[in-house]
Amino acid sequence: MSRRKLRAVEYDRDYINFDDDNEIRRLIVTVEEAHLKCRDQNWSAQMLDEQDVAKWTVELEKYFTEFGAPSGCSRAAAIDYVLNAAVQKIYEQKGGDTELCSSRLREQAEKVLEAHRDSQNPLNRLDYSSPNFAENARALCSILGISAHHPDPKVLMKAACLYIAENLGDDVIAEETEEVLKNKKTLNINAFPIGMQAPKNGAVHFSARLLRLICLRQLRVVSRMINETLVEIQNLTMDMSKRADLKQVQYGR
Amino acid sequence: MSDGITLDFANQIIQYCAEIRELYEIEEYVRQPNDHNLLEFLYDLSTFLLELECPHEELTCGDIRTRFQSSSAKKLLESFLDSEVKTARLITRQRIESGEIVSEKRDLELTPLIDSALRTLNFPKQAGNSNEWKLLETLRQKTDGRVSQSQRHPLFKATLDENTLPEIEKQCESFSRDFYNRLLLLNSRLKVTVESFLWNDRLKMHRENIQSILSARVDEIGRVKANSDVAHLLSASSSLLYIQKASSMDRRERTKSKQHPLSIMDAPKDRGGRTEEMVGVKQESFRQQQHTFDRQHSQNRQKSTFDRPKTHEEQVLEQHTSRDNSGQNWRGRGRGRGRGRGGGRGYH
Repeated sequence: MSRRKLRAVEYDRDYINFDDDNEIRRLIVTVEEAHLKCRDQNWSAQMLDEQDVAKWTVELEKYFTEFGAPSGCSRAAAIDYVLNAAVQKIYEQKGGDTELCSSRLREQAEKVLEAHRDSQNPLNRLDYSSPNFAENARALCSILGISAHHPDPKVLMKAACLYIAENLGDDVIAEETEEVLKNKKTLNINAFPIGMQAPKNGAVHFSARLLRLICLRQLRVVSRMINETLVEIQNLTMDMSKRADLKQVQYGR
Repeated sequence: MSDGITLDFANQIIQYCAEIRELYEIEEYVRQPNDHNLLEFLYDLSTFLLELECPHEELTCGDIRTRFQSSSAKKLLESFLDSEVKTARLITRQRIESGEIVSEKRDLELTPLIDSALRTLNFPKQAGNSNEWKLLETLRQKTDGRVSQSQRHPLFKATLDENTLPEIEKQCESFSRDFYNRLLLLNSRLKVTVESFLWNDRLKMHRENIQSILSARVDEIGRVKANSDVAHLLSASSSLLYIQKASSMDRRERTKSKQHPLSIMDAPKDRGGRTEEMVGVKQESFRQQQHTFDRQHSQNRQKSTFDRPKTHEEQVLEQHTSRDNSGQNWRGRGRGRGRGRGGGRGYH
């Protein structure tokens, strides 16, 4: 069971707590009423109105069994069997393999994208395969000092634009004077481990070091995103009545 | 075969996985199996099922080499993936009909990058009827004017020929795969961490808020694209080699928390050990020390109890709060020896 399946069956939430049978009951009743329709019309209302937990739990288990869930499987797996049946039904209603095969979806997506392409941006009129584009890409790389030997001009243009966006901003240039750079500590790239068997070719070995550094820098960005998530949740949940008093810190006796 | 997976079955599975991957636009993929890499195939499949949030423990738990041996497990895997293909198609259809797909893919591939470069060079947004080749010409000119002011330089200068380029592209693929595996691990760990918060009774009333924050962030992290490609390799600059403290404040701007006030507020007045701010020990003459000792001795005799002389820390603390002797340096060591001799003589 995944959030994607909940979305496919058009459920109004994207999360289910598998430890809460009330939530599971709500999901099953909604899916039954909207898509599966295996029971009579009153079944859904009766399930929700039933006060005896044991009764509707037994009915829920019976429902799971009918859709192929083996007894003793986890709640998440049982729900997956039901959602699979619902997805199957919706799939057939929307045309089945004829209307929903990948190639048709790709065609439809491309048609929609083409119609909505931003005609107000002149850069969307560039023809990446033209000699003019390749010439511009190589010239940019030459100006920046980037190696311009890649056969694909799109790669060269991408590299040049990435370099410009990261390094040639006003604030970046203003901040990094020669004096500031003298105080900056830098890594010795030639001694950096790559985490794999060292290639024999010197250029390939050097590129492996750079790729490892690029990968690590991006992982640090991801770690920061994760820390931001935890902080956001902590700010929501922390108990402010236990806030520390920092005005006086004791020292010694 | 010994692990229960036949090549035919593996090839059938990989077709499902390829279609699901394309429609969901996820990065984990299951490599093409052959006689020599079935174990790697199984690891890829395991990662892929984790990405799909497969709830069936027969498919996600246990020894990976024996997990798909039984025919019931194979049948379950096949039906799960078949259902997931249908789910993916339905969701793609929804995205097309709702127009969501348009908001994500409005531009040509390089348009956002060139836009970003022009913005960096302070070039204003152009009207729709501007000539696109003149824009590239302007980009070149502005770059030429700006690059000489920069102290940075590209790191990779080697020639890419028919020998090195294929090797480098293999490396890019390897690093990308490694990155996506780590990304999946970090995302899973984040989910587990946050969901464990909800075991606490007090926090259950925040559950919907917590879940909405978590799902938005997990989606955002899951959409991160690896930068391990040739373009990023060529554009790597000397700033990649800068060493920065992990705790530097510019990096922790949005990870400060009320739970960690020292990251927010100024440091407290006195955390101990900052000798340059401490008030030094008093410069006492021998006579003054003797006088102090005698007084204490007299008091002790009257009370019939022994009151030990103040320890070094107590003396420092007393003087630290004193308004006298400000600015004097601390040279307690020599005086300490003097006091020791004085004390000894007193006992005699």
